Amino acid sequence: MEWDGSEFEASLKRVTEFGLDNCIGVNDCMRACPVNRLGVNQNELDSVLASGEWTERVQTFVTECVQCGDCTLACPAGVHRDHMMLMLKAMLPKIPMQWQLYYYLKGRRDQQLLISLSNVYGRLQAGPLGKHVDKADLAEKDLLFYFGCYIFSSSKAPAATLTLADRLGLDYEVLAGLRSCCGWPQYLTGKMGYGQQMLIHLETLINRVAPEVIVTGCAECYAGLVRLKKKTGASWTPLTTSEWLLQHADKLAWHKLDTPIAIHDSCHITKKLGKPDPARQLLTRISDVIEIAPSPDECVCCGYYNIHANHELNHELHLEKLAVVAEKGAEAMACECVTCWEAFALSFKQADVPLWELMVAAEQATRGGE
Amino acid sequence: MMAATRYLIIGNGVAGVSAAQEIHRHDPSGPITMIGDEGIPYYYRASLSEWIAEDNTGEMVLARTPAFYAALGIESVVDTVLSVDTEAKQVILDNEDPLGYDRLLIATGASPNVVPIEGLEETLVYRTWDDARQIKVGIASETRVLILGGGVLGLELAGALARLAMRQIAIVQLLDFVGPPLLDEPAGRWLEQRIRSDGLMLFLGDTVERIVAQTAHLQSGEALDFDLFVQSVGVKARYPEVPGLEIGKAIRIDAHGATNLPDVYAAGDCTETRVRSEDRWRPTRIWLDCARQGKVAGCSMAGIEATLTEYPFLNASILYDVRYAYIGDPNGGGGVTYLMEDDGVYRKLRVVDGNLAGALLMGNRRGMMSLYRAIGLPVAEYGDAVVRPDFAWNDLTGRNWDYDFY
Ligand SMILES: Cc1cc2nc3c(=O)[nH]c(=O)nc-3n(C[C@H](O)[C@H](O)[C@H](O)COP(=O)(O)OP(=O)(O)OC[C@H]3O[C@@H](n4cnc5c(N)ncnc54)[C@H](O)[C@@H]3O)c2cc1C
Ligand code: SF4
Repeated sequence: MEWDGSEFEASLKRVTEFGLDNCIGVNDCMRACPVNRLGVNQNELDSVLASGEWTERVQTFVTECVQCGDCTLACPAGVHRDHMMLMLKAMLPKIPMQWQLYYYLKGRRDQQLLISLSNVYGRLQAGPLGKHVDKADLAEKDLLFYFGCYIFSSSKAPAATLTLADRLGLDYEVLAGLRSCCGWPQYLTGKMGYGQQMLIHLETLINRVAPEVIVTGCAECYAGLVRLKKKTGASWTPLTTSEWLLQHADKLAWHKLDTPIAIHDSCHITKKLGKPDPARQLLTRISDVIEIAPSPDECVCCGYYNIHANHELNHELHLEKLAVVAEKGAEAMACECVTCWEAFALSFKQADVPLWELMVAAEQATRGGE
Repeated sequence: MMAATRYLIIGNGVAGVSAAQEIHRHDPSGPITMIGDEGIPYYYRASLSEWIAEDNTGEMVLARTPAFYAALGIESVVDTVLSVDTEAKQVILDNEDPLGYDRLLIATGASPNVVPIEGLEETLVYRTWDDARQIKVGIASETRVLILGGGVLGLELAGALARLAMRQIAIVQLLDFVGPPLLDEPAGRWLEQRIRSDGLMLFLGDTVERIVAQTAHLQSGEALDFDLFVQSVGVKARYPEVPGLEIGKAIRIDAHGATNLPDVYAAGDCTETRVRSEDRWRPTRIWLDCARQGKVAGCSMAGIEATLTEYPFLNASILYDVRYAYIGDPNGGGGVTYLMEDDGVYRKLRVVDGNLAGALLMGNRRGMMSLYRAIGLPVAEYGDAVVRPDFAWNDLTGRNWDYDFY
């Protein structure tokens, strides 16, 4: 399929222009932002957008924005502040080193040698799942598990998901690795063109499998799939791992844990795409669910992108999250999104609070039942 | 070599600054002078209530940073323009010498109406930061506030003061419902309940006839004591004297921001524009329209072809303490109206000849931006489903405005 290469940028420009005209200055966006530790005001952002004249504060803040969308939900005038932040990311004069590395690796399909080398390393790291990393032969299957780059992460979710699928006796194909990136990291770093390229390439890979359903455990990959489907009108249905497993839940025997577990909502799945329920329904089968209110005070952000920009800020966020979890009387927290889990993992480990991945918990709760 | 064009802008509100931005973009070498009589940089009027309620600091009320002005090379003059001599191409200032121009933009906004009341010597109004400052200085928790006017601004002020827990907040409104012109009577009743349940006093279909010391005597016979009296009874266009300028209720501009006089442009609250579809002149009243007009006028002044698009009307903000969106024409007569009322939610959609004509959303504004894109589209087949927050407008408009990237 041919895409107009400038489509994303044009849409960003349109949204930004509308935002600049329509912002009435109540600053609700910046008060709602979970990572705005510098206390940046929207007039600082709009001044940069309108004049191209950067300040250090705005530059730092722009690199720290995680694109959670809280600002947009808070705006009384209907301004898409998150997209305006994306525009600022695209305009950044000084790009952080970590970002440069990130899209050198992930954004450039022409860096074949580098990708091949990192995939060799990636395969080793992915262990038994290594065979799926950027594999050339993709079979036609109705069910496709899409693990993108998180196949390399320390997450146990991909393995648990496949174990569950095997337990259910399902036939499937797996798509994972650097070449099947959803493009989100590129968007996050303001590289719209690269992001779009990645998504187009992803489509060609998906077409080889010609699935009916694509399942992913990463909120960003999921958002990428939703976007791809919207743009291409593809017939497959994107599902989160929770949605998928819920469809089969009655075929499994569940033993409930007696630990009450707090649930962390991912910004993409819950807030932006409006699907808070599947993860809860699933967790109810595993343990008592402890809710965290969707306010910025309680639903503290995982700060994922700051892994690449600001570690300290991330850690601060995580300490706040841990405090909320403790206050709620939860003994653990569960994440639906692999990315959130990755972001939180270290801080929770240091604090000695169990951090569950929903698929891993589900796999354990249904083990040896039949 | 041709001398650079000298641009002069009267009024440094949103219309004036939006114009300056465009001028600078298209003609970076043309010097821009902005004359304002408030003596402070461009700020957000809509943010003043948050400032009074202490949710926002003064820093947040400012709309642009000094770096922005510096980047645009704007020269600021603090003075009042008394009149414009279009023959000599200069503006006459109150304190300083006349200033010449090649292209002039009048973006002088509006000034609040004041009703004369027997016994009233001076009155506070609500338009500028200075007005807001006077209100803020005048209040303490023991203060009894009386607001004349239950329109959008009066309610916004009441909402901000309610957050500060005043001893008494009373609103006197001539019409017998609150919130016009955004709200019609049923919607006004809905909001009225909410305001009353917060303990505010509402006197509808009433007015202040006389003031004796700190007591207001209402037409209905009621007597109300107050410490602070604010009038919020609408605004009228404000502009300096310009001989030969075509004026209806405000300065008349065409689709390029031009007035009937050569090299004189106008934008913002001081203007009215022709609504071709309705064959009438419409005064400019909202921020978004001021910004769009300013940009078009700025382009025209810099010699760039630009035309004001007739977008459907869109105004989204806070009314009292409720987030609302007013889209298209929800209140006009005719057509079919769908209503949804729920705890804290009021949604109304109007469909005319099977096409979406307008919407008023309060409390739950889900879908507002995509609904805005859908004005004029056929929706008859969906019946009353269109009024529900989960209606899939994006499927109808074929684009996902709310989350374009999804
Ligand atoms: C409290 C408040 C809340 C509002 N909330 C909203 C909202 O939520 N949403 C919305 O859409 N709109 C809102 N509005 C309306 C919106 O703010 C106005 O439509 C907009 O500010 C008008 O912009 P403007 O540039 O045309 O005029 P202004 O902002 O009025 O700017 C004109 C400037 O010119 C100066 N001036 C006038 N005459 C002269 C002269 N002769 N010489 C020198 N200087 C002069 C004035 O002092 C003023 O500073 C609100 C208004 C107020 C007062
Ligand atoms: S998208 Fe999230 S992180 Fe970025 S500015 Fe908005 S609220 Fe802050």
